[in-house]
Amino acid sequence: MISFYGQLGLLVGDVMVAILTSGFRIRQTLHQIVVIGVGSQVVVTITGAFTGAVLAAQTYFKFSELGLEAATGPVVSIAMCRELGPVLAALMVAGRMGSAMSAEIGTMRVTEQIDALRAMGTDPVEYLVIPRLAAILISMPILTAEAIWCGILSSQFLTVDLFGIPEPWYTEQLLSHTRSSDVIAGLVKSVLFGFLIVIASCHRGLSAKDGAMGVGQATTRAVVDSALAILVVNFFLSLLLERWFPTHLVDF
Amino acid sequence: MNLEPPPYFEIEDLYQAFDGQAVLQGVSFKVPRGRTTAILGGSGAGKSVLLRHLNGLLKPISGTVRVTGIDIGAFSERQLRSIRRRIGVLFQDGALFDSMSVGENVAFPLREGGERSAKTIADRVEEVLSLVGLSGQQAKMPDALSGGMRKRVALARALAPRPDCILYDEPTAGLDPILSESITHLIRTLQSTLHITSVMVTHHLASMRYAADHVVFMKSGIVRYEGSVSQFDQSDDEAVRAFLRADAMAISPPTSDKIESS
Repeated sequence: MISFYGQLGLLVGDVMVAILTSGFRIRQTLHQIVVIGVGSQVVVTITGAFTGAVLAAQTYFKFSELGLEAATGPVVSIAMCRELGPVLAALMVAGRMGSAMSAEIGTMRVTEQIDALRAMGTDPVEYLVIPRLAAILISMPILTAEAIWCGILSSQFLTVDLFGIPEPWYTEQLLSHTRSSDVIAGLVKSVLFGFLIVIASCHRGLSAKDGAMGVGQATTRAVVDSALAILVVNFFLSLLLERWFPTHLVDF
Repeated sequence: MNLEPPPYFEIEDLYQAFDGQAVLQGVSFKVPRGRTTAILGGSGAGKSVLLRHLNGLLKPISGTVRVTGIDIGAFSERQLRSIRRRIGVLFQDGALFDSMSVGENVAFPLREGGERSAKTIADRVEEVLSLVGLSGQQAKMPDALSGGMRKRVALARALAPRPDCILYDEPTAGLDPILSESITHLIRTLQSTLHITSVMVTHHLASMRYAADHVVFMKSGIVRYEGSVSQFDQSDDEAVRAFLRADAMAISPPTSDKIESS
């Protein structure tokens, strides 16, 4: 356990040193933005849309009994912005890209390609981790915004078009209760989740051993580590961000 | 007056262990400059582990590794980069980047070394590929290559940045006798034409005899012989004699008559 966290700490240290001392690899970063960002759009938007829809349905069913069906919009909106949008987008990216990153780097590790990089005087952290980190830090807020937008849109379709709440009423309620701080809190979370996914996945890949079986284990552990880190950190971030960006005070 | 140049590598009292098991036990030897040194020994002798200490890929538990007189023991990864760029490595399975074409693989160390001119890179890639007999193969992907071709591409990649030393990790392992002979011949030719210091890890006596000038024989992490190729056969070390006997038996195995009579 201590060794695991020590290795993670060393990797974070190496990443910081590489960011401060080495040049930016634009080509690799753009390639990773396409792989991580563009490639994850479909899965993230579908996740966001159906999560928003099911949340809207359940909220509407219960709230309509109390005569509070107009609150469906704000409930879905705030939940999507602050919690579900960033968390679910991050979990989907962790499942899709965390596994791919650890498998790719793990395979490079067990086939001596990482040693070949080092032997040619290239830092594997600088060459493999930094472009992925830069790409995910750029992609995650955009993916999260898309998930939130799709969730709210599907919620609106369900409550307005299917359940018959008047559209102006729905929109007015949604906009009056959703603040910029809710959106900012979600986007801040998404950046941190992206960082966690890359560090957890690259660490598992870089420490893979024992051939194909080792790569398989590294891949599984990368997804589990990323998912657990996202869920645990999300809880503490929610508390912190409520202090820094309280939903009832900050607005722009 | 001694005109012999100082050794390229000087290894002193090197110890290494993994999971509590000793792999190198006080290894000391020198690699003469501009010549080919073979690190010979059976499987599990610690040859490949030793090779990885020469360019700092592994750090020893104790002992000293000097590269051209510089002790690299306390060097960080960043400090080792300039030394590593002078030492090419041919890994056992080639270690080609499988997401890159042959041309991109060979161009990689040139780009990482700071070369920006596309024409200079393309010319050098073609030059080293033709040196290993793979001219015009730049567009192929590593997956489409045979084992021998992969090794030759890896050798071209190691040669591309004009290193002054090359480390070969089992260059003939897994190849058929004809390919094995061709790679060994290539190593000899490169050494005689480019005068590169070479260190070759092998367990093939024939390859060692053909390509090497200097031999380090290891068993169980201990150097049992260091000296010239010509003197190797005369060594009275028990491990060397056993290795020579086993090799002779592999070349001409005893007939069933001989086995019965013995």
